[in-house]
Amino acid sequence: MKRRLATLVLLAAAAAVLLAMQRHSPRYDELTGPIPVSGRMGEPVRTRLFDARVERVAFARQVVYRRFGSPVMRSTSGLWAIVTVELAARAKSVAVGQAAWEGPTGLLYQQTDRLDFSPGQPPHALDPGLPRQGRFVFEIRPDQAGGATLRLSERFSPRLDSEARIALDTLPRNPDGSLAIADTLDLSAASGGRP
Amino acid sequence: MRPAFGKVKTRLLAGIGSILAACSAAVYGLYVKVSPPPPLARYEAGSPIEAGQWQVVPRRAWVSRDKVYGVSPGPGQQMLVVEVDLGNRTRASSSDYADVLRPHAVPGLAPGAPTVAQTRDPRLSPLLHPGLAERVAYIWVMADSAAPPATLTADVVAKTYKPRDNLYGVPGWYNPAVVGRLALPLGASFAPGGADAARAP
Repeated sequence: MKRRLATLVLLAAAAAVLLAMQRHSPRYDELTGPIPVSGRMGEPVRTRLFDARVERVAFARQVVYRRFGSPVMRSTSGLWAIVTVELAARAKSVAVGQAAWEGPTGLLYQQTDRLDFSPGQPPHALDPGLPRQGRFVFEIRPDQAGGATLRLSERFSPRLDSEARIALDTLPRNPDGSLAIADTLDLSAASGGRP
Repeated sequence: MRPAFGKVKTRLLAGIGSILAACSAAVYGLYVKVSPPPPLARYEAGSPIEAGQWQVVPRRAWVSRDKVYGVSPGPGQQMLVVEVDLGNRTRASSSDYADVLRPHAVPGLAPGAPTVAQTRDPRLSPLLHPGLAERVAYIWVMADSAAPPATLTADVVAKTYKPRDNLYGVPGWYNPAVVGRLALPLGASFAPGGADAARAP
């Protein structure tokens, strides 16, 4: 009787262990996913291919720029978020083309695709020893502005390659502590790096 | 005597059991075949529809021979335009909405995926971001000679969320299925973007 009970207990334990292993074994996607490199605003974050240092974040209700000499205005139902980053290639030339704004609740905003032919659009081509400024523009929901993280990589969904995850912790504030949001931001004037 | 009887009893029981199992499968199959599918939800202009990844609010539909939101009909063509508000209900930016509306019983409709244009600034296949609803126009090409019906009916198609797929273990949206039917009066013509009383939420 006792022996039989022990066998049963052993069986149940084995089943539990197997179930736990089945549920928690990492999937292919996790095993080959991006390798995060974390950092904060203002400090350089070193990934395998490039270094990135987020200089500033700006918010605006609409953005304007010049396309082929004529002005273009882009409104949004949310908020424009403009992140300026200093980028530097490490050992070889690289183009940094993928950025996403990850909100505090995990919502993932890809870069906007609404700024055709605006100056300073990614991908930002980098060469070793020649650091330059790059700008990434997102359209976000206003409640996703605080506590966000910038994800930067060479291409979409990097596999077995590093991805910079930079906490955007120094946001522009009004004197009363609320978020500073410009009514209009001119991307042509604010384009950093190249003319 | 007893062992033989036991054998017979066992065989009898096994036979009855397997017959029952086979019958249950047949009865279930018959039930699925015979029982009518649940009635499709009906939607009209202004009714919010939860279609998997997308929150869809149909606004209006019309047939156009002129350029609409940057899309022009080719020679011998007219365009069926359906304006909807699309809200992304998922976690990440996406443009996987081409299959959400499937018009049917429209004479002369060319098969194939529609062109989807954002109305805020005419942009094709815009990326739509979580929680930021945008008005878009679905545009199908029709033969110029076809007479459009008075009312457009279209199936609303939704995909189902799967926390991980079987191959890569990534979350995703699969298995498109019709979740409702939309009926919109087909106006003769609208000025794109103008005279838009339904814009207010």
